[in-house]
Amino acid sequence: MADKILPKDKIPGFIDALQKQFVVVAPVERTDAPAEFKEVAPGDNLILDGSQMMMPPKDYLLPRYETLLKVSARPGEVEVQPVVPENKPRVMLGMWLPDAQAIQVLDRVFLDGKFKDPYYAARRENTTLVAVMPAEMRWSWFCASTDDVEKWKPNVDAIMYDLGDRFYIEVTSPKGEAVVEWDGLSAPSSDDVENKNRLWEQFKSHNVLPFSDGKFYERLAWDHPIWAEIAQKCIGCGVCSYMCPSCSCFDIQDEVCGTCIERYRCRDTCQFEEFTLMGSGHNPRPDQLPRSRQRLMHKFKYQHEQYGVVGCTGCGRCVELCPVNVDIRDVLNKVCAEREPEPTT
Amino acid sequence: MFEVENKIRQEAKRVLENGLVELVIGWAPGSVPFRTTPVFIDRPEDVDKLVWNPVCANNLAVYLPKIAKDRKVGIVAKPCDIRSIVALIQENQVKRDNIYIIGLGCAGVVDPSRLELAGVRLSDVTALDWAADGIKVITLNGEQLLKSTDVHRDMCLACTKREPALFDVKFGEAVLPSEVKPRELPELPEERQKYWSEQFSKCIRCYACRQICPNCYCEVCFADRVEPKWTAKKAVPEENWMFHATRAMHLAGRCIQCGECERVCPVGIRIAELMREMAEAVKNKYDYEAGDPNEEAPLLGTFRENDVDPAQHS
Repeated sequence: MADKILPKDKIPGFIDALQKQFVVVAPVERTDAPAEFKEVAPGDNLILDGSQMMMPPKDYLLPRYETLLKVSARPGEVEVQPVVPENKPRVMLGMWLPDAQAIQVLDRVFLDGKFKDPYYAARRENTTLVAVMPAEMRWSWFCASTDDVEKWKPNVDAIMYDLGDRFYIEVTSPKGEAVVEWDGLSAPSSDDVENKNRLWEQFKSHNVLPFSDGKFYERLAWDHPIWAEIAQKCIGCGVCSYMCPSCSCFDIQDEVCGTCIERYRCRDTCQFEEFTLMGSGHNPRPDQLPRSRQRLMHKFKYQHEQYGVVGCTGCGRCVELCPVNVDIRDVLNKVCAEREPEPTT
Repeated sequence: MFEVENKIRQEAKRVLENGLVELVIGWAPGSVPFRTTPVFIDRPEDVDKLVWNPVCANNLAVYLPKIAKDRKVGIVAKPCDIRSIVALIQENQVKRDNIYIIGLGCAGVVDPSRLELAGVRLSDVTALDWAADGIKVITLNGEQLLKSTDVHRDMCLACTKREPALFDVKFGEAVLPSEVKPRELPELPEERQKYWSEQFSKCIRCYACRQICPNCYCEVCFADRVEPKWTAKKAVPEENWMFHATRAMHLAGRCIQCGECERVCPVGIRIAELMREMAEAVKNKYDYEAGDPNEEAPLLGTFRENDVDPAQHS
């Protein structure tokens, strides 16, 4: 697979060329807010170098709000109209590598198993993922602590390494070849290859934390005192899960307007009281302790058991944004320092 | 800073040891040097966890209604946090007798994202301190002095109430801002409409603003009610308007301007600016300021004969 160099001054031409074949989705700059993944329109200012925190790419693949179906009723007649997005060839650019890996987690939930989600599939199946490797590591990243990141490469189709005045585009899957077809790209020099390798090594060795022994999921225990400690300060908002690139929980609601019904899907989170509140009034997670425990156990234990992938990829958004500075890196370090792994049977 | 920090620790130790309180809420070092985290101390030997520095952002009064319901609790509090406590007392959410306030004179709190904008590499920061007319950032490469106006939170740049209004013991000196930052809202109604539409359209409905707010203590928020359903959960502009406008109205005459809502918003909605607008309207119309211990009751719980009728004074 032939890697290529994209000089930064040729980005507009590169995007134009891609748009001839694909719908291009990339982080679009916004005033006073993190950039958001959108279908690129003329005049959009794109943030492709991964230098700032952006909204997670799940916002495009699994929108915060989407209509699932519409029902219209007239006397003697009921019509149900599913609203499935069009399955078009797409390229998603500019996502952090941990964000791209998080899409693997979403794929397990929405594509695998008995039921495939047609809404997610329509956006995802024909989409080429191009990740970005920024020149500088963010302080909050801890990707290499969560997994062997070498395994992540084939899960994306290409990686753009920020080498200052140029991007090094590494093609990591056959699907990625289509991204480097444009004739405005050039072949990399040996210096470029060296610089790219240096960025990869920097990523691999960045924030490898004490908990990272590849077995932390065995140490997370249901009855650990840490859950009470977190729950005491946790205010029960949805920042960690709504900004998380792999959290995928949603709510489905019906809204009636006149003779029409709209069924829509929107975000929901295990951190909210209503998430587990049942019609009977019973709530199996009645306070913050089981809610705080659920989010971490789900990411670091249950999802690993279920799918063989860790549910957290170390993007650091929750680390940076938690209003009360619950830092999951600290939580894992504490849990792992205090306990030997439970024997597996 | 360290002198005040030591006094806080000694006082926390004293009140825990002599049984005046069962628990002290304060700030502990965060997971990184430019953050702190709430800490709940119930043993005198743990008081050395308490810190006081320019990143002690959290308004810890948010924990009081639940934690101090039936026991005595000490709280380390900045002047804005104290105004929250006053409002909670006036609204019968906590009893004055249950709270021991370790009040602090304030010199303003730093917004870590502004440190980044001022060219500081956050991963190099080891400590922060107040300095004459600014903030001293200690990094791996030495010290750096930054202007308050560049790194303080907006709310702090507009704040002139830096002396604790209610306390059991008080430490530290208040330092007033050299200039007060004016509001930046557009003047014309249609421009404002556009401004707030843009702001609210960013909302992802994570409810961090509500959850962090000491005065948003409703057991079931209107936004979470299913019957009647006041606003839908979906994050679309019109429902976001409903949520933010209603929350603002519920906090009119009650918000004490700590700015926590804006600090925790992950998408940068200028919620505190809206709250400041509401507070100014209340001040102008009713000569009332929330969180003032000289007021006996909440604004909406009182009637004075000379109260203006808002319908006649648009």
